Amino acid sequence: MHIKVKFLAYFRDLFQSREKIIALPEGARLRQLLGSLCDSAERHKAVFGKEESLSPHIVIMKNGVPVQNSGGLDAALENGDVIAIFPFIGGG
Amino acid sequence: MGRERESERYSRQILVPGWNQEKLKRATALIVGLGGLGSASALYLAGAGIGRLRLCDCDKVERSDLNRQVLYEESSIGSFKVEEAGRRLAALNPLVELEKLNVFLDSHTVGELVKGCQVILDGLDNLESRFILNQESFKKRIPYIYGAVHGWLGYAGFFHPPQTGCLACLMQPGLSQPEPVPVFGTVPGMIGLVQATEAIKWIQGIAPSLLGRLLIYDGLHLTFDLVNVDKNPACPLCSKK
Repeated sequence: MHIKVKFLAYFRDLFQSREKIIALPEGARLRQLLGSLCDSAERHKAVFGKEESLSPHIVIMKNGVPVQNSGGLDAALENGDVIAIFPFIGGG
Repeated sequence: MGRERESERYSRQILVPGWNQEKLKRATALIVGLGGLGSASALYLAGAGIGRLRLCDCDKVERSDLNRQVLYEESSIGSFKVEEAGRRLAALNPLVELEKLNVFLDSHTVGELVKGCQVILDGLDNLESRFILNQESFKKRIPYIYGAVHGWLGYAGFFHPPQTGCLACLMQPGLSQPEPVPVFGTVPGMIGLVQATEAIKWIQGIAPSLLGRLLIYDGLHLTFDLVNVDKNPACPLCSKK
């Protein structure tokens, strides 16, 4: 299956892309998608937190719905899903 | 100030299609946090002639605020922000009624703060206070215009459940951020003006463009992205009946 990943804010620089199409085996979950994207220590650190959990400092949305409270890294993926990734910011 | 002077003051904006000065005059907006975001939104809401601005902040002006918090000047250092902001805004537009609240936002004070306002503008600098405001906005059904900045980045969103999701759909409580947050003036200025624009549209009965969407502004690459934010069916706040 093919998943579209949209990078926003400084993730565009980090992943050197605005958008990527990633091929994954059927039944893959978000953890596998992110694992395949994070092919450097810097990328891995930006996405994964302690003990390989999802970093609390990023927001990931699947088809417009944030995954934070609905599956997280175990969120199931389907062919054609669109994943958006951007950092959390909090200054004012 | 006479009616004639009032008409003259707003003579350019009433030419804007769809503009309704009377609706704006009858409205109350709450701005929580008078920093970089709140400075920009307060100045432009006052200039536009909103009826009442409720200003909330308990901090004093520091020198390091002056690169971005355009309500203040060198002589403001050490004074309470609400007082300085009140002075500046009254000088800009004496027709606007100002409520200056030197109050710390927490779960005990938030109820009184939002009472009677049509819209809430977020000028805060931490997520914990934003969640308190978001929760009250949900409880009282008052729209909450989110804004946040960091470095070259600025975000803005318009949350109004059940029509849209809420901040808790998107982010989890307990996030930490570096102190001090890197920021320069134009980014909160840009986001604060977007927040003021959306507030004015809402008050005038025009659908806010950020309803259920997040604006991601990147000043470094000068990009503006709009991300649709659907309701999170597992949101700990707004998904509950």
